[in-house]
Amino acid sequence: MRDYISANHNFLRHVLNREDEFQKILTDHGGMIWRIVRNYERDQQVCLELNQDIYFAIWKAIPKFKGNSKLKTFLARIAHNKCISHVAREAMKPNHEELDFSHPSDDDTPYENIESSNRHDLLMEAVRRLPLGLQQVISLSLEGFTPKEISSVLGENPNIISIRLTRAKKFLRDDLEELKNER
Amino acid sequence: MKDDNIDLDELSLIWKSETPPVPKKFTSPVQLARLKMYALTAIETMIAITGSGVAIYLLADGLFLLGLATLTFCLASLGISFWSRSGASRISTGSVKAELQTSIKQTQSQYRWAWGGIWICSFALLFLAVVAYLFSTNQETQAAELARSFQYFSVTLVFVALNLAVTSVILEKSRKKLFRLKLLYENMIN
Repeated sequence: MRDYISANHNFLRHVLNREDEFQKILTDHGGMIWRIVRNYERDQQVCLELNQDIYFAIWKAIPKFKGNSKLKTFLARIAHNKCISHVAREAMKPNHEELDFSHPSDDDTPYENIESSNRHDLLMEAVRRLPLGLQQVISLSLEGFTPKEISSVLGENPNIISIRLTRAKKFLRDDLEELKNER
Repeated sequence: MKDDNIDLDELSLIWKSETPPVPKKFTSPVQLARLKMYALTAIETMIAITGSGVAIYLLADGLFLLGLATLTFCLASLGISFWSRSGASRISTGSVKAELQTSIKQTQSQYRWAWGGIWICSFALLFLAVVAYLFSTNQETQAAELARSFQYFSVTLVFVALNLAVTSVILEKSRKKLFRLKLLYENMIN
């Protein structure tokens, strides 16, 4: 454990001094941050801006990281907090907007990619249909967070998180079925 | 996918299949908003310092009550301005629930500050109105003093009107934000 914390501190000392190390964080965790953003916001352009805000917030917050939790958990907290602020500011209502089923590109794309993209869109839409509390839990779970880590990000009791996760899975299954039938 | 449950591992792979865009330079509207906030704070500070200068001049000129009231008003405005903005540029690194609670508290403070501003403006206006009335009813008051008290009242009236207009916008924004934050909090914990 001590080694883990020490390794994180050494790593972050580099982060503070070298921009390419910050770039490494974005490379390693940029995907997770982007998916958290997409979970809260539908508009692609707004997502890009929000993503930038989160990167900026991370850049500023990195010195505060003491290694008490995993870096991934720390970053997820910042991303979720930024997204919550965004939702509160913009009064977005993601559950009431129409989903854009159009293909994201005009380029020739192999069928597998289209299929994969459709499956992803379907999953994203199903997750967005969930109530906020369940949405947060399931999206973090899909990112590979354990219930204990999710409780650390969200600030809830791990038992409550486990209960929510069970409910979220049930609702997600129902929503996925419903969306498949709609298509 | 199983009958009674879902395979999170399979869904996790689909979930993670979305790749993020290539990071660009930081050109966020939040940064612009933050710069705007700093600029507004600087302007408010300058106005308060100028007002305090005027107050000191009034005190030196023998207008003790008016000078003291102006000085109190300027310093109170400056204090409230800084207090209302404290923590605005903080990065939220705590748990989502805790940070949301903090945001609610901050917005409640902002809401109270907006009401505080309205009350301060109203009292300042009332005070000057009383001063102007007393001057106008006093037989010993000279024409120059009377004119000056009306000048102060007119200038303050314009300032207070502008301040009320801005404060009412802040008040409405805070009210809406507070409602949304509480709604988010309710949605999150239920």
